[in-house]
Amino acid sequence: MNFTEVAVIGGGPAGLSAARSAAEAGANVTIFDRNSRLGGQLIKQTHRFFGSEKEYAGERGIRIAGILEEGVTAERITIKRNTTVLGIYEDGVITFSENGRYDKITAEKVIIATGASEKQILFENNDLPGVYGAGAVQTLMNLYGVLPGSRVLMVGAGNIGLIVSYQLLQAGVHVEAVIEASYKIGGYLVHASKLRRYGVPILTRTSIKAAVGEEEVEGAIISNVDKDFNFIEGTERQLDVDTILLATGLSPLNELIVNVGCKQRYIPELGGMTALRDESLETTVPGVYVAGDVASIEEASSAILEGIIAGTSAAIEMGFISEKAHRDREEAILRLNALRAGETGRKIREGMKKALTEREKSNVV
Amino acid sequence: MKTKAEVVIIGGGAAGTSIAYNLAKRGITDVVLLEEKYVPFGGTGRCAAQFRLQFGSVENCKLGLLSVSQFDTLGEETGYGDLEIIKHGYILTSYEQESLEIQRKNVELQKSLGIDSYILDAKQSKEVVPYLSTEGLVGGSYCTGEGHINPMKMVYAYKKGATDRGVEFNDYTKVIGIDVEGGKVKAVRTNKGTISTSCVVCAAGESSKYIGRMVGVRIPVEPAKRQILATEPVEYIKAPMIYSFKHGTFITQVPNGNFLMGSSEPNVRLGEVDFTPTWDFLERMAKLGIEQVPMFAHLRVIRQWAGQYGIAPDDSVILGRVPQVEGFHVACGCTKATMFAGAIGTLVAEEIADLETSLPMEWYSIERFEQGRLIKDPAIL
Repeated sequence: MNFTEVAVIGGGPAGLSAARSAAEAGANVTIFDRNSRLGGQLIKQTHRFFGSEKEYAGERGIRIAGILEEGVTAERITIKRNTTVLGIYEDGVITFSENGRYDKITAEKVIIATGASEKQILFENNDLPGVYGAGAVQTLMNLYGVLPGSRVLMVGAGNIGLIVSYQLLQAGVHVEAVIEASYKIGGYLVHASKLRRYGVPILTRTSIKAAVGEEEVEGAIISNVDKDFNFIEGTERQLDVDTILLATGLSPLNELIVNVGCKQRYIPELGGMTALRDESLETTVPGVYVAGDVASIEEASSAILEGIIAGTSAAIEMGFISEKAHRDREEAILRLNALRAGETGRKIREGMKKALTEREKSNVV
Repeated sequence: MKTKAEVVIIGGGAAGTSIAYNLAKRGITDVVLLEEKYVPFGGTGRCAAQFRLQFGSVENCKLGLLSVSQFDTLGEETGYGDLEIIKHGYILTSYEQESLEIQRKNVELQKSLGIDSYILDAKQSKEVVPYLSTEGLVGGSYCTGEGHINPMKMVYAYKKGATDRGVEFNDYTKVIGIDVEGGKVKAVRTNKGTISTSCVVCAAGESSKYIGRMVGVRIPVEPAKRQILATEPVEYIKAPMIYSFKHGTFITQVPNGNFLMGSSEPNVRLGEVDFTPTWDFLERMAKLGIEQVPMFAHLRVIRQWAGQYGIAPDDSVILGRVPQVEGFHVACGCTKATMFAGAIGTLVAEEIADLETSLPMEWYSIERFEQGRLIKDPAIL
């Protein structure tokens, strides 16, 4: 059977930085990514990032993907593109499909960095063609140059909803409205302001009730909601749209976590069902780590830092001990804590308290 | 949860739900069903969704016939609706003249009991299953009275029929003890309280031995893991289930187009309930599948799961009263609870209601093991 010292599943920001960190510390690493191009969701993100320079602020996502990919060109790293990991079995065997061919491998350490998928919400006709995830449309437009439709309703005013709406405008698509069930806009106001300057209404306390159409979307019925998110009768109105985009959050792609038997908990602050982990991001299954959106739904910058923590921790645990590995690990932990500091990080901090295994919690206190 | 009931059924799979329904249908509605997880968590919810008639013993052929006659009317009778019954038949393939001879004898028996089965040569086999490889194939036996039923819908229909008549179902209720006094059942203790009763039915499938131990009865059923692969869906052809003794496998297409396949497991660890899928099954089954249906080489596997067989000494059902403990009945399908659900429910309910049973209960009784009257069936994998 094939063997690799560290298997990194997922070649997005978390996986790539984990692979690089583990390899720099001395480990042989294999990266598995189901796409032909590394970088995960970064490769469709044409907008500039905010934050500090160390986390690539000011760079466009697609450029960051390039930088991270340059980091995994070391000889110790094997990259398996077009490769889907199928399962991790009880005996540690990882099965995968590489360009359609089945094979298997074992590893000393496994870093699961599979990311997240878009949440679908419940409403009448939500399976009509023309209802998309907003992230999926971002991929369609920015990667493949395909427009989803001509008149769009965006559901959700978080950063993804706001940014994709703006990119739709840039591509010449009419955005009829952005609706948001909460009483306030979830994303950065700088993104919201751009939309407002173009005259796009952002309707808070409003949600979608139904998609209209027989074969495809021909309209959307929206309605005001009260503070408990119940529809307020008599406030329904129909919008003339052919496309409904859902930017209603992400949930961790946790199939492999379930498969490998990591202890999980439902932690809404982190996006849903997610693995319990210690400060090194090691799960309750020894030798299995999580990093990035699969561990908690955050920004690419946090994913990168989590990748460094998981990659260096795994390497150190394997005996690849160096001052640099320790320093990189400590620094990543500090920077991650800094990213999660302040008011905007409160939710994540609350979630992290629930996600830490008992041992770690006692250490924190 | 009720604290007193006329009958308590342990197990919410095909056997337990069918007994609940059949009791209620006969006017016994003061019944509580206890399920450790949810309906149908165990073997029924994990099976290959097939029922058959082509057996090699009178006992099993009769059970099959009684069950099928019930399936035909169950959906309508309970008001549940369609159960996705498709009588696509089974083909039991033979790769040696010798085994075809055994099948010929089975077919003779089946015909004498009113089962419309017959022997096919290799060419005719190919006609009924166009995707079957005929390499090495001598022929097989074929019957069209058997086929597919959706086991989920089946137990939901039983559940609906039972609860509509007043039976109480309790999910996530674990039996932790059974009180017996003076050789009679008195009560069932659960994690949610105690139910006084004078009649308990153990329909706990592969876990039955644990229930038996609570009343001091050794139920000779051992759990053994079996696994299934499911392929991506392709165009549905109403072709029979391929059942091969040589390969130790079954292969069938379900109505939404997926192929399901499973096999006997020579090296499986007996005695423990274990739902963990293994990669060696994935590889072994894929090879055995492609050998029989070459087009599988172009199909993707989309899922794999494990369930449990309940292995009995003669691989046949155990039904009815247990002589040592008055009021304790067993209903172990021993891998065939889904396909025999109709008969299991009918017979056990008839026995409890003191009615004349549709088939002789001594055939299926637990006493047969001590008395050396095993069911000898050469047509079981």
